[in-house]
Amino acid sequence: MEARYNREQKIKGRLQKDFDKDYAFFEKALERSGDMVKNVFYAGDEKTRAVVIYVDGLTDSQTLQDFVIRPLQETDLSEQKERLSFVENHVLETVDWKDVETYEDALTDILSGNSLLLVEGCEKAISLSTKNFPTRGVGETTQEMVLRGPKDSFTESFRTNTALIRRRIRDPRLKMEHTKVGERSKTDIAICYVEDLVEPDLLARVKEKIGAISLDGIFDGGMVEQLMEKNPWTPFPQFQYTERPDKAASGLLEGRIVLVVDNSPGVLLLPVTYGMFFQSGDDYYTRSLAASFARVLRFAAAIFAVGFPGLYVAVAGFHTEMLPTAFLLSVAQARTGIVIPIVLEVLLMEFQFELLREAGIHIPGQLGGTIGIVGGLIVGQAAVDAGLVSTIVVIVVSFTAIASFVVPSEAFGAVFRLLKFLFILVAAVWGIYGYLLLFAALLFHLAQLESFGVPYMLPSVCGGHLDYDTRQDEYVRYPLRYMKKRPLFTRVGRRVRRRQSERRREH
Amino acid sequence: MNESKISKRQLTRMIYIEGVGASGLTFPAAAALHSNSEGFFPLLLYALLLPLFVGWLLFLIHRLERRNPAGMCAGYGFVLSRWMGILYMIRLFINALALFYFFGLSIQKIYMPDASLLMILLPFALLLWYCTQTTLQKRARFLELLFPWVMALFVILVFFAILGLEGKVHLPELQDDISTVLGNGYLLLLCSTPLEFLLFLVPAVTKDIWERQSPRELADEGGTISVTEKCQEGQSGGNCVVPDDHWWRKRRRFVWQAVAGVLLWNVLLWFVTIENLGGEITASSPWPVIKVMQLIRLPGGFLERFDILLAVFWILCLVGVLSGYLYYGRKIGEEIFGGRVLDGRTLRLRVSVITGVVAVLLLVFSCLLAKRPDTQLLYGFLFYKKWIDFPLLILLPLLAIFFHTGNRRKREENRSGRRGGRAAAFLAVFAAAGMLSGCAHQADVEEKSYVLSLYVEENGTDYEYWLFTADLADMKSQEDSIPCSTIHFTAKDMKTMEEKYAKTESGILEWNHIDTIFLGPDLAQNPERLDTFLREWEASWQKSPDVLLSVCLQQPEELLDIKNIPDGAAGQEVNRIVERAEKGEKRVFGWNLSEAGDETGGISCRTPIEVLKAKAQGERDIYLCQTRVLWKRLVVKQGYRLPG
Repeated sequence: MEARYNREQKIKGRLQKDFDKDYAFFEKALERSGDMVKNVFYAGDEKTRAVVIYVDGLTDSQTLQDFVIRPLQETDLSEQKERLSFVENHVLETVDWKDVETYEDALTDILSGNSLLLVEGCEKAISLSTKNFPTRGVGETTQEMVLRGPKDSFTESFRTNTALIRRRIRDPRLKMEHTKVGERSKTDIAICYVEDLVEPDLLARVKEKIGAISLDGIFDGGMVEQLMEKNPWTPFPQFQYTERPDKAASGLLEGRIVLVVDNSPGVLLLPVTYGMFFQSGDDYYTRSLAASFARVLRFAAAIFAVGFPGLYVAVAGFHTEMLPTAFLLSVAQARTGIVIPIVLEVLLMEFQFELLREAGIHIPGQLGGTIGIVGGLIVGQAAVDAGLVSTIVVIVVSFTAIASFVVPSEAFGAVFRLLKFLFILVAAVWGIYGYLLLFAALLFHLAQLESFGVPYMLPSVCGGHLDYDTRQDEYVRYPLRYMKKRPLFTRVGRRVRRRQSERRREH
Repeated sequence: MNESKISKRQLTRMIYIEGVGASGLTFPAAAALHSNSEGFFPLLLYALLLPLFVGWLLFLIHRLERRNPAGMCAGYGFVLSRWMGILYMIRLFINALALFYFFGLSIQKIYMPDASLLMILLPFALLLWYCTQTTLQKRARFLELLFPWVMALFVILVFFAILGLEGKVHLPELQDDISTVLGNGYLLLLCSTPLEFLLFLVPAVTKDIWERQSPRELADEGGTISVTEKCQEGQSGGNCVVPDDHWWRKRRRFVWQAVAGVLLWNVLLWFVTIENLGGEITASSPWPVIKVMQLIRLPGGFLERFDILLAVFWILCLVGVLSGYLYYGRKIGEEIFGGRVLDGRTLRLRVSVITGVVAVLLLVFSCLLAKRPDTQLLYGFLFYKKWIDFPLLILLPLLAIFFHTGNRRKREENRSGRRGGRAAAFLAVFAAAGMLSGCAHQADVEEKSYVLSLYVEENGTDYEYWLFTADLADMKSQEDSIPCSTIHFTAKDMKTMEEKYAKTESGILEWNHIDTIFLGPDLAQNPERLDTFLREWEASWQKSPDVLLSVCLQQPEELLDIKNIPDGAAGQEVNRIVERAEKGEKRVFGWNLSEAGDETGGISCRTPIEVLKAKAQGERDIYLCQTRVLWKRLVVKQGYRLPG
């Protein structure tokens, strides 16, 4: 019997309660798959046939042998009328199983690492949880490093990731709804939220959007993000991606939703506002003054990362009157003999920097850092000596590069690097005037953006109706005892974070 | 979130930007226009007229809300008849066109003299078009984001300008006749006419912008819900009920607070400008606030000129106001012709195209207007504004009360708008790229000739100019004085001289870093010719207003041969000597400190603008410093009296 697929790439049909036909179906469906194991054996009565089907490498075969096959081989099933119930309740020595009735569910379970047990005379098949993937252990985060606070990070294992979150919030109201996305990949995805904190409308909308995802394969959270976001043309990320379980847990306690996607070494948080991209993991673990200073530094760095090279091009090309004479003339003197115009000079150096960055990512291990040093120091110096670029441009580009890496979120930092080129080009044509128009356009664009109905620039916009004090966790971070309320996207009536009695006791 | 509602904070911020943004920088000039004084009385009249104007608008809004609550809740356009709406759209377009054109012209004159008007206005038109593709709530968010930048720059501007006063404040002159007071006071009120946007904003203020879903969401859930239905439904229990008195008083209070801010803002601008420049220069310059910023020098000299900060302030404000004119025009158009766009995500092709056409029209008309004399256009526009636009602004809402119309049917939504918008954007970018392909003649920093000092002398009907420009090739680092090359020209004015320079020499003359202007003996003795030269200097935005004026009774060749300083660096040295002397004396503009002088001995001036200001004040004893070369050394002394 051939497997037939419907439009959504799901196999049609249910188990036929006929061992031979069902087994033949699985044989046919899984033919030419060398990693499939189909282990046919007899129960203790030596008449009743059974088969265990699983994927070699994804399944713990020893567990299967010890707690499923051996007990079955020792049990007489011939006299049992309620054979399925008997097997499940009296024979299997494993606790995690479920019945399956359709071919689609059976095959999905097998391919997810579970084992399928088909016993002659049973009306349903039994799916046994015997997953044992080859996974990377919980390691240190590589993208969101902190000086203080937990160092563990999410891995590619779906279950490990949900466990890392659950470990931090021991509250039964933390829910993790599982579903699958990807018509062929059937990737596991968990929608995590705290039941009484999440806004029901938001949750419904997220579920609806996940249900509407239609793509053959989902291999990372980044793909889910792109398929769910409202505005695909904006460079700004509309989800927050994090490798840090503590950040995810903290998001959940603010009424946000966490999406855990199988095979993704990070999770997605939503909704998101621009300020969240400037929050680092250790902001909440260090003293508030130090954390506030670091945060202000990040905002300033972001402005420099976007605008500094463009500003230099505008000033040097159009508005030399702004610079003090001595400085201006030394800049002019440094440029004497350089044949390319300022804008090309800056673009050339920025391009070189982007090349080095890209190369640093793809070159393994220590060599990546070496490439950065070689590129930054030697090539830069050589370019100056050769009269290709002036020293001031090297300073401008280096400063911008450092600033662009100060922003804790890589996805957000990448936007700055992209916009920087736009600012350079506009400044080259229209000077400060064009630069400001582009800046206004950028503000306008940011004002239009929303992440699941929440304005992206919150709380800088829509102030006055937020029901929480915006100043306490935006450009600076107040001491924790003053941060009494949760943000706006928490469910109405659940915005108070700290108990009144606790606050009174402190005072 | 309700896309057609705004919060109270958004309301106040929008009023600030729209009330000041259009004309904040020319406000002091309007106060002192056609006047022998500094415009104090017109300002008083403005302080009286502004509350009356806002009070009238509030009265009309209140009446309109009582008369047609559903219409005002849905949008001001719904209470207008079709002809009134068309009249409004024409008015808004003309206002937008005037602002757009004069803005481009100003940018060209002050910051980009080498660029064509089309080149300057093209990106602005694109931005304006982009800014109209939105909803009221998102527009409010945009202005909310602009506000901190505008406010911060305003505070810096006022702070620097007060520093520039050096603690010296005088009482404004009080000599205006009644017709000037009335005329200028009215002119000042015209500067604040974007406050008419209150008609759109006040009814849209809501207690909680998160309370209701957007029309789109409602439509998604329940099929088609028209604005009309929504509002009628609201009348019986939702947001669109006739606002109670308490809520009305609250909204009114927000408006008054914001208007008080606008008034304070404008008065502060007037004050710092008048105190720094005086009445005559303020009245003669279209952008006196920028002139004030050009004169400011801060210790450390990390920035040579601060007027670029004003550019930021001004451009951001203008984006807010001009996009407002177009946005509200678009809103009225939608409301009177065919329902309205439900929210920002479902922009229709029609809206994108029509707003695109409006942006193109702005561009085309501006380029056509550029061929006509500026003053003629300015006075023409002022005439229109005084006698047609403002009366209409006052009367149209009143007519809307008497001839109010019912709500309109909502038409079907055209979902192909996005595609159209993108196509139009692509075409615009393509056109811009095409036009920009030939614009790469901008001189780089090393290609300019930096004039560091100038010697001017009279020669019959012409002037003799000796330009000392920085010689980058001979320049050594860590040197105080920069060697200069000397070039000599004879021309009837600076403009002609610069044209001659462009023909004979390579590079572009850069005048913003000049230290000293030496006035030759004949020129120093000829008040009319000196006045002409100084006025030409002061009128140009590309020439440093902070240059030191020094009389030099010797020939320019003698300035070239000075001991211990490089060739042509005499001007730099003189400037340095004067600065050192001033630091010791703590010289304050106004009083002669020469050995012969005392507090009744006339005015000691340093820069062209100070000389012009002193002359405008009727001062006859004006003193400049004098440079002499004695035994190949520079001697600078104060107290050379210019002939009256």
